[in-house]
Amino acid sequence: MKSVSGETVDNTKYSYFGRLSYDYLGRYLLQASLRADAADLSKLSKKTRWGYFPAVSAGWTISEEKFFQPLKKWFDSLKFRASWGQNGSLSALSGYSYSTDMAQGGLYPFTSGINYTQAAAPSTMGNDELKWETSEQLNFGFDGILFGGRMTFGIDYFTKKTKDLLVWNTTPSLIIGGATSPINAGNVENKGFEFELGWRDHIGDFNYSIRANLSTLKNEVTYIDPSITRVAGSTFHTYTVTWFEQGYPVYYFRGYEFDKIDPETGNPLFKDLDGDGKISDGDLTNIGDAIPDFTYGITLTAAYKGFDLTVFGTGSHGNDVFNCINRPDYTTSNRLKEVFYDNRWTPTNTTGDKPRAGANDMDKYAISSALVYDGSYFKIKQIQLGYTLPKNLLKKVAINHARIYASLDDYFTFSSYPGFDPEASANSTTGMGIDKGSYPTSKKIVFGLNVEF
Amino acid sequence: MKKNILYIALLAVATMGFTSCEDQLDIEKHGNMGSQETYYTTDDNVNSATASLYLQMRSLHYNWFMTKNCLADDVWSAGGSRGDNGDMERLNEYTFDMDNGMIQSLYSGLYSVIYKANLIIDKVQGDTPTMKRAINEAKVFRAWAHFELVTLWGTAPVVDHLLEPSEYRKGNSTPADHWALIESDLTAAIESGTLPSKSDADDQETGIRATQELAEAFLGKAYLFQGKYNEAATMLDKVISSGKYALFTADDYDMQFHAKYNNNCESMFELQKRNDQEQMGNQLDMLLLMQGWRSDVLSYSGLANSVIAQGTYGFMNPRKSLYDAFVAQEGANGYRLNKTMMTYEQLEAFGVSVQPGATVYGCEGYFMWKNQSLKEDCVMDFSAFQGLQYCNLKVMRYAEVLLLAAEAQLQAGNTAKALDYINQIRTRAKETPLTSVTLNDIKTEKRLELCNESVRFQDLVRWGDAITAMGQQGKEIPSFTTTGVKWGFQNTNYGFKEKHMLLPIPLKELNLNSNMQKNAGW
Repeated sequence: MKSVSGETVDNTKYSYFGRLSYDYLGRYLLQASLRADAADLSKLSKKTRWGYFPAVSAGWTISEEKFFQPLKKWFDSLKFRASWGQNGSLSALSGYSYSTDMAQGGLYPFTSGINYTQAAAPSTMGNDELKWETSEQLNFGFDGILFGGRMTFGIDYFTKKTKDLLVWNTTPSLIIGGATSPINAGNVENKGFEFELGWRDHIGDFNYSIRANLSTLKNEVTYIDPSITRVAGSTFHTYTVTWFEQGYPVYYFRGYEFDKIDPETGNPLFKDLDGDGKISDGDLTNIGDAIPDFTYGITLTAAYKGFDLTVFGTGSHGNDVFNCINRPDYTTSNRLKEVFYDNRWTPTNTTGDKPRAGANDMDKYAISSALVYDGSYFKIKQIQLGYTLPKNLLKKVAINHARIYASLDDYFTFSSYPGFDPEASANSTTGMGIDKGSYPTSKKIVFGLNVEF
Repeated sequence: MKKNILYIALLAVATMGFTSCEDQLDIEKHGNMGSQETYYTTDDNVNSATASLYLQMRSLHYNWFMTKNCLADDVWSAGGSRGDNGDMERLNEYTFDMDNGMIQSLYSGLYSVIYKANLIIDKVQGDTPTMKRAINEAKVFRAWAHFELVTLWGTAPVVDHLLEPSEYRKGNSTPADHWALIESDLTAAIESGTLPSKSDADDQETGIRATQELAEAFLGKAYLFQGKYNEAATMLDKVISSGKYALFTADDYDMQFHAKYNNNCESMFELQKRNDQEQMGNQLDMLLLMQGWRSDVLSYSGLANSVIAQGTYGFMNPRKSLYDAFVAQEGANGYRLNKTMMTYEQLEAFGVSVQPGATVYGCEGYFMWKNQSLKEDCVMDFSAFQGLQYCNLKVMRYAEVLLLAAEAQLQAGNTAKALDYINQIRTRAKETPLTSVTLNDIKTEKRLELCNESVRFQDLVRWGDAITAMGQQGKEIPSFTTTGVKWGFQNTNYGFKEKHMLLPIPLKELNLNSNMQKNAGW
């Protein structure tokens, strides 16, 4: 593989995989597998390169059992599934990060003129114990089909534990001087339910279907290496605003708890949680996270003669968004009227709920719960209406198939979040729910014509 | 079920049969430079390790400079508006706590310098002249870093060797431990005879790296800070009598701070930058970008528009008290005063005015001049990010050596030498020479000569003058408009107190390392 700078990068992985399957009369299914993966030297040392990842799954088609036969008239099929498995990942690693090998780092001029000496130092301080990050997933579920295929449903429960999570840039102490190697520092647990329900039928020429799904998610960091209090995530201006810490959702928002606007001065006031009489680091607390309580989706379709209609929407509930747009050093840009202007404190509006212009502690305000919003939303992703022209009409002009349609894409969003887009995210892991004003999804009105000759 | 067992057995056999392929995973690192155990064995490699130490110093410089000058009484931290860099503001107003980010970065950054130095001191194998020089250079910077640690934090740990992981959580050291290491490192470097000296004051080449005289200057300073006046006087006199350094007089006083006069005769040590577009991204820093006047509230015309690099952020504006101190000594038309800072009237005459209705935060109507970035300082004049100057970053200049020596001589009872040294400074500043000298004369001279040059805070603490000078600092903060100065921001808890004699051991360190104790009063 060639990197952007033109350097060739070699990656090798060495794997064994074995699988056993057992199927009895289509009623009982059993599967077991084991894989053994070895990473190359750029990722792990020889000592720890091998990871072993087993998996088992079982299925039971209940509807094939004798005792189920009386229900068969209306209950077409019912399956039970259970699975457990482990997987390894090293995607967080690169470039011999466990080793104390020397690396070039910068140029320094030791003589006058443009003439540099290449600098070199150990790339990291080393970690011989570095090993595979493992995720372990446990799943139980039912799938069912009823009423002659008209109704389908699925119920799943899952837990996914990520163990020995690879974490970079940990600090055992401020006096070490060098860069630490990544360590296997934490465990994360995700668990939840997934429900799916579908119905499809027709009334004469009118066909319709409805599908809905709902997933719940609970996410928590269950362990972190004792050498680390918390791992820093995304930053905003000079502050780290998301953190990875035991007992909290991954990369939760940590900031000051906004109390109220001081009616005397218009300055924001914060809760002194540690009771030391001043607002400082000790008062930082969990002020929200980007993990939704549940997400859901719904799809409706209908067709009558040549007409067809699709409506498709998704939603999320209970996720927070951290509005990281206000920077105290940018006085005149990037300010949302709803967030900083409406109902602000002025000498004539001393009950305002936003700070006065130029208030004290705006740097704390910018990383406080005042700028964390409920990011729950429901978006109608698409409403599409189509019409397929009658075949007999088309034959005359040698056209096989023609459909015209009009579509509203990403057109309706229902959310109380005042920013551009409640789905905002600074990056996929450490910056979930951090709104730095990224370009929002645009609303689209699409007219189309499909023709096949 | 028997079949399954057979499969498992087959899999197991297959696994064993193929293990010989595993050596394909042993991918050697590209351009592998070897491990740290074998690297430090050639002159070229040792030079690369030394370059890495110098780069560490250069990357620390910004934080080192900003933290110490915000803590002193020369400037307002200022910036675009209230809260623009809250960490600096809190240092400047003495509202900071143990969690201050600047203090934490400076603390860990000094240990990064020590780590780079320890790599050389502990790992270099061999005794070629290059290697001996590198080891002694590393000792100079290890001592320098410990000097900053002991004068700022007092009880931070001494780290005199590469730490094993089991030693990462050291407990507090005593100031005496620090001074012992500083003296032994610098004495060893001086006595090794491996550090070069400049050929003469105008030698712009040799002083790019640490010289014999730099080690002597650091050691003299360390003696003075411990009250060892005789030793300090002797050591600093060595630097002066070497004749290898001189006060800058080739151009106006203020020009010594600009790229044109990098490595001039007054430079004891400065971190290097080059006028090189190819490398400008790698040597960018925000020192002058931060300190340039706040461009977005100003209009530039005439001479100012053609010489000043615009797009700067307006931190570190001089206090009126500093201006007043200059006027008391030099008068409002003092040469050095006018080459150090400007009043608003002088600024306007130069071609810069505050935009109508605009507010200059953290400003009493005085504007620093000696730290401005000129267009001619820029590798590229880039107003969207004015961080591309090639002005070297000063760590120590000869004026400081003369003033340290004046103080040491006075305290040691050699008034004549003290008078000679302070008068050298005064003559260059176009002031009348003194006929007698007191400690207060030296204190004032040093404040004016070296304002906003990273020495004042440690001096005030050492002299016991900090509470007098800064007890009220941070009570209220000004903003300047064309109609006058407004004091729109107040603190209820402010000012230098007894506990500030030592900076707090960073909260993060206390959280990470249970062996460390807080400093008194924190």
